[in-house]
Amino acid sequence: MTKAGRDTVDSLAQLVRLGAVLIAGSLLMSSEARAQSLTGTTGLVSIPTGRIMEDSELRAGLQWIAPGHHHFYGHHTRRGLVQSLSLGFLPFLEVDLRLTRPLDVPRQALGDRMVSFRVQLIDEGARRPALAVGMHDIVGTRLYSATYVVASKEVRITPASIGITAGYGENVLDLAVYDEQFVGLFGGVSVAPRPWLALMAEYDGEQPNAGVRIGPLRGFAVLLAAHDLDALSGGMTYTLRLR
Amino acid sequence: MGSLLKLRPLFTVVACLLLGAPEGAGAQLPEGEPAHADGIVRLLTSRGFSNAGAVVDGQRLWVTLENTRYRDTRRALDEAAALLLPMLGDARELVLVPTRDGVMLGKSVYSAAEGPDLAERGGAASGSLSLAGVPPELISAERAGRSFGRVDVVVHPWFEAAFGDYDNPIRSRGGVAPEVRVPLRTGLSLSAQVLFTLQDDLPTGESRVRPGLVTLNQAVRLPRNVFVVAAAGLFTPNRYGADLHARAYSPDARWFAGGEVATTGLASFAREEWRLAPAAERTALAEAGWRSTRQGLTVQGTAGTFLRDQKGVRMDVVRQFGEVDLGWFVTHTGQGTNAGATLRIPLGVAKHPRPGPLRVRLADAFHWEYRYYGFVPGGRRFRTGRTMDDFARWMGP
Repeated sequence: MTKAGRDTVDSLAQLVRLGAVLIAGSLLMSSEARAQSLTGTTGLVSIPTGRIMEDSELRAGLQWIAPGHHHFYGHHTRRGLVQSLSLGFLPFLEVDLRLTRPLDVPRQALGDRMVSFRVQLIDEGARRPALAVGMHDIVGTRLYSATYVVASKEVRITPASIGITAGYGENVLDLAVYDEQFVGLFGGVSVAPRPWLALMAEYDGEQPNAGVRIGPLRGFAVLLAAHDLDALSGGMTYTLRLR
Repeated sequence: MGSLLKLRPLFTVVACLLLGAPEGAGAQLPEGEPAHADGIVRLLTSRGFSNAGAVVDGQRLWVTLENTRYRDTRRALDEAAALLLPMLGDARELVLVPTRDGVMLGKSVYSAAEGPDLAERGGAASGSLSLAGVPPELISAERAGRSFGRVDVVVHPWFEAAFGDYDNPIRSRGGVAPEVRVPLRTGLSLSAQVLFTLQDDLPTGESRVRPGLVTLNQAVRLPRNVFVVAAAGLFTPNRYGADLHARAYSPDARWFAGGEVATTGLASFAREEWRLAPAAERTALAEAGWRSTRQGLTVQGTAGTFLRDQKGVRMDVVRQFGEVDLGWFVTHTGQGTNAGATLRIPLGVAKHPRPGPLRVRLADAFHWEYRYYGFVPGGRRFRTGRTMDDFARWMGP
């Protein structure tokens, strides 16, 4: 075999190894327990998880959402910008505030405001999963309303951790104006081979999504995701403890 | 150079006026020395505390003091305790009785076993609003380092925002508001403030330099942990009149109930001209609340007649995260239902310059209230310069 041929084989082998690691990771699932999703709440790529923020933690996030995946009424062909703040207001209560607006268009208003509450019903234990109920976008335009119950369980296989999430949403409070998120069954898996790296795959009730979250610096996290496995979105967050 | 040297005494006088004497000037009590009231009082005043008095009563050392040094009273108490605990001598407990403008707030008990690193560990005292057991000798003891008559120039940043039109979705204005604050005698203080506008795109027409709070404010403590605050003058925003607020606390500050009545009128200084409406607007509010000292959580309900003769209710839930307060509220009045968030963040450094005849310092905190619907004004309250929450805040986590 010529040198060029050997190089090509080596490159292909490297790609196969990398792909195998990613696929294995995705199959194994993972979790970086309390990270922020692209929707602003504690979650995987888009879906919320059964865990909520730690008490007294404050997290600020900035996310760019691919066209067609931010649900902003009348702007489905444009990218969306999500600015979010999440707070562990009480040991059992997470409060999320979010602003969503379309990009690539002259700014005409503040954006759509969203207030969400998530209540931890059961803390995660050695054998029991964390269980939470959530109400998203409960006042105002309610473009992103959702009501759901969701459970998550994480298993640690040092140094990795594996997490699984399953939830069910229903329009029980009749909040929806145009649309409702997380209707019916949703769920996902995550694999964190290292504390600073998590690979995620999920079904949000409408479509599959996948993503990777990297947290190289204390408090910072970057999320890259593929909505419907083809539309690229991403975001970054910073988390701090208020006391 | 020679003329500069001649001016040195003047610089020294100005520096002492603004910053006070050097840290620790005055008596130092050697560690391990038994507690002597005079020495303790001198030590506290040398560290920037005011209105200090001390009494040794059997196994307890009682010390009253006013925090005029630290941004956070809780931290001030822990710093004072860390200073005094090594000097207890035969005493078993140190009881600190903090005051505000000379009004006693309650007591904080520290055991001799706490050790000098108490402040670093975040304090370990048990606090109470009750003054039961405070020796009469302490109440009547001569105070050292009197705060009365001293002038504090407190610089407040201020900021307002409102939804604008589609081209300019957020309109705002902001600036600084220096406030001259002088405690005159026990519980009585005078405040005078000027609002300087540095940035303004709100269409209010208000002058860029205009009066802010100008109030005479009297606080009184009554039996059964009842605090009363009476204020008269120019309030913010844009209001003048008189206000009376009373609140009773349970000894552990977990429960409180009270009421507030006021008669006020609109007052604004726009286009270099005063506009005053008769001070005939009556507000009458009843309030009750619960507070978790451990979580720093306060839940408060208020009902009655708010501004503009709007009868309604308001519910506040506020959590104290150290020195940061974050909260939510819902109001329902004849003008509709609204909700929003409240924020209090600490400003500047944790330790102010030492108090002196004249001191310039940054305000302790910045307050902000966000309302979801800007056009539903119900449930608003005006500010008189002193909030009832200050009397119990030091007991927070």
